[in-house]
Amino acid sequence: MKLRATFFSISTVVAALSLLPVITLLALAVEQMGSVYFLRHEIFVNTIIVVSGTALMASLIGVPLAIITSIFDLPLKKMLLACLLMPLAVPSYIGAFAFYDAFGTGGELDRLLPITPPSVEGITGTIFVLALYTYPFVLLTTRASLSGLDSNQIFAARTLGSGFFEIFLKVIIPRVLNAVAGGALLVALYAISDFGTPAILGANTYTRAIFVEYNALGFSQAANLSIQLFVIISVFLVLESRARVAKALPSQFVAISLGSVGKCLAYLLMGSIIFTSTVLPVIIFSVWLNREGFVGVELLTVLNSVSVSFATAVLIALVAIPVSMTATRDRLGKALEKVTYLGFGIPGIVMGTAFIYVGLQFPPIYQTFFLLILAYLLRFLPLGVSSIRNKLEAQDDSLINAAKCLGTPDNEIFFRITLPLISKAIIAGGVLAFLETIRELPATLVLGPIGFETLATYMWRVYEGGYFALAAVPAFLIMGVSVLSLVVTLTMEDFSR
Amino acid sequence: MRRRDFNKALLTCGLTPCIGLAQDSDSNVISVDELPELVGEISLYLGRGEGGLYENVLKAISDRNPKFKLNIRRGPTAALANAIVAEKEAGIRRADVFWAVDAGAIGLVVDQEIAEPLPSELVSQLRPNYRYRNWLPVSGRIRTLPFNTSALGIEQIPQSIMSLPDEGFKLGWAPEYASFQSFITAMRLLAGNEATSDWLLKVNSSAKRYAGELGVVMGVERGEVDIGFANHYYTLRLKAGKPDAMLDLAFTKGDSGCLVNASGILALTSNKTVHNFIRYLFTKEVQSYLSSEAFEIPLVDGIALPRGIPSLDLISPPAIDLTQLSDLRPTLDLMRELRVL
Repeated sequence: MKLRATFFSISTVVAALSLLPVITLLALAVEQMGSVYFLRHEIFVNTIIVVSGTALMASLIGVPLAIITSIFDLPLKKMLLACLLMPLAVPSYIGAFAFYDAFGTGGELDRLLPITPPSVEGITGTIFVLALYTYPFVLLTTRASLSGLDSNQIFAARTLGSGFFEIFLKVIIPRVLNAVAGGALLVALYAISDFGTPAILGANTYTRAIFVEYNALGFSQAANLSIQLFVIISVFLVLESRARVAKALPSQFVAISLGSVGKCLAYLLMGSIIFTSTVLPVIIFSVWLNREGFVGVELLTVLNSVSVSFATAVLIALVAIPVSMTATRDRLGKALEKVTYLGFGIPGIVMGTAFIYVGLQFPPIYQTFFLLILAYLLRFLPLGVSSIRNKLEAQDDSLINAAKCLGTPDNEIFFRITLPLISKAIIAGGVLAFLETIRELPATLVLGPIGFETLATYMWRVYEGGYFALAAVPAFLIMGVSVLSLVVTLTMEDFSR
Repeated sequence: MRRRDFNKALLTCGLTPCIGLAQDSDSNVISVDELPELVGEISLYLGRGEGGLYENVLKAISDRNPKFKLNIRRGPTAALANAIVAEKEAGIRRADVFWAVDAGAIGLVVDQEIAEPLPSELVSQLRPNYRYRNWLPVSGRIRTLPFNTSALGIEQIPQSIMSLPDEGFKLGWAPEYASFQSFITAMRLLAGNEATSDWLLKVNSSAKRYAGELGVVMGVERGEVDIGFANHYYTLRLKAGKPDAMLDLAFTKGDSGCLVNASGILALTSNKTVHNFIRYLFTKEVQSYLSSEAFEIPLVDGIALPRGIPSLDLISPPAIDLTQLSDLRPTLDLMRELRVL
């Protein structure tokens, strides 16, 4: 019983902490009731355009790719799929960096190619770059729903005389619609919270405006904008929780063979997306690296990034265990878990603004690692919790029941049965948290203690200084670590299935 | 570390070879050799925007003084000034020294009466018209109009900043940059709020926006815009690295368009280490470095002006005292109101 009580109290404390940023924002809002800052239409409209544009474009890329990689029989499909998921490992601001500098008059590509490519900037540029790095969300959700597609349905349709397009419209599309919506909402949530991409490409969205206000002595305006943004995000979160799809296993998987023209088109589509989202930035960074050499990043910066991310990952792995254990126990636990998900919906820049304010109220924690790591913990804990909870829920109770029958105390059951069973999920959750922390930009920028520089904040400084080429080394390091962590997580989750 | 090594350290950090640094002049500017070793730890808030050249100075100082630890917090100048004021209100003091790229942000902090007085012999090193209470200007910079020489000739550029938006040029600006905001403060003080609003609205409706003023100057050079608004040194630095760049500087006459501003430093703690650290920035070596490599205007007597800058007698800056630029808040409010920020 003791262990259960400990877990419950940890869950409660974490849930209470998760409320802290929201309460802070509300307190700030109340404090400034007198000078309520009305909705800034331009920022609102820009944000909505960026978010819906990105969701639409990511779906236009993700859905065809999902169909190609799931119902058609293509050689090298698995390898291509892995490449198509690579953008998940690349934070979009790195893409923004590469595209912003490489495209347009006088850009890197202008020098290398005989033609001048159009510049990537502003709202359209932001949509373009965000979609290139978020379509895997749609690809994954759509594929998951297509994997439940029973080929008997298609055969039945064929027997009844339907052509390919009719089958596509009447069998496939209705099946995936919900999943596409779910994926598109994940894209929307990413797009609305992302700070680096719109900031670098100059699209005046909420996250960028909050940062500008924060920098221009406008603390209350920053808080007001943060609250508006949080309200919009809450709507998306509610919608997203409704778009979950039930999974059913098919009795027979679909594997349609394609003619040579169809194959060519499929490869062309996959190839061009992989080239633009992954290969092109790598080429651009290589050109920079070649020109500038290995300069700029100090070893300390790398160590800072790795150690703070590692500490966060370990902390999240440790805290996620009690939260997910409590969540699978009863309704109250479930409710506590839901509260801890709040942080995931709070963009880094909003979390940063809120915690600066918290720090100013409690001077001993102002500008300390404590606040920074707390911000990371609240933002990324859900990654650990969902990983462990999924495993716990999928688990067969018979082992535990057998142990109970034999009179094993709860503590021993946990350490000898449950913990070994969920160990992979704990590591996977920790790795995901590591991945997110190492590339986190806005909260680190605002909350980092004095003298604390990470790879991400270094890239931002290089961007502000205008010396883009110095970003090559940190960009490669972040991409390398990200790919590595992603490979680890995917193997942990037996993704190959 | 000896003086020659200090120079070398500065140079190896620098991006281009340097001439004229090692020359000893006859002036009585102190050299790093005359300074005591720095011992202890200080925290510096460093306003961004110098493209890494200030970092080289700080690194050379740290390398020379192994018993000295410098903790740096970097951020946009206005944000750091804001942080210092907010910290003071909350009873927190994190920064010992604030080095800002812009006198306006410095003034904002000085106005709060939290800057510590500085030793008088430090102040007396500066040119007489650059001596202020409780802060020191480190290096000067002039507001300029960088223009693309293949798009237009210097005679086409108006000499009045106020009439520039009416000429139909493609303009480039970085309104979030502290030096630009101080330029708008000067415009408000000289031409009034109304004229400044009109000016901002006109420019905002057509100008291309950049993140910083190096970006502006690069945009001008690439031909994306005809004319930009930027501190003088970005153009000189770009031209030093690329002598055939289609880029030159124009100056307006007697208005905010050719405001002379300064980066500045102030102390929030008063002790020997802080004072000796600040002394470093006014040595012959650092001031020459800032002049020859960063193309900034040295404010200590007896250091040569950077190459490529017209003599200070030839330009006609407005009659604005740098301390007046601390009136930053109304400028930001105005820019925010007009949706420029």
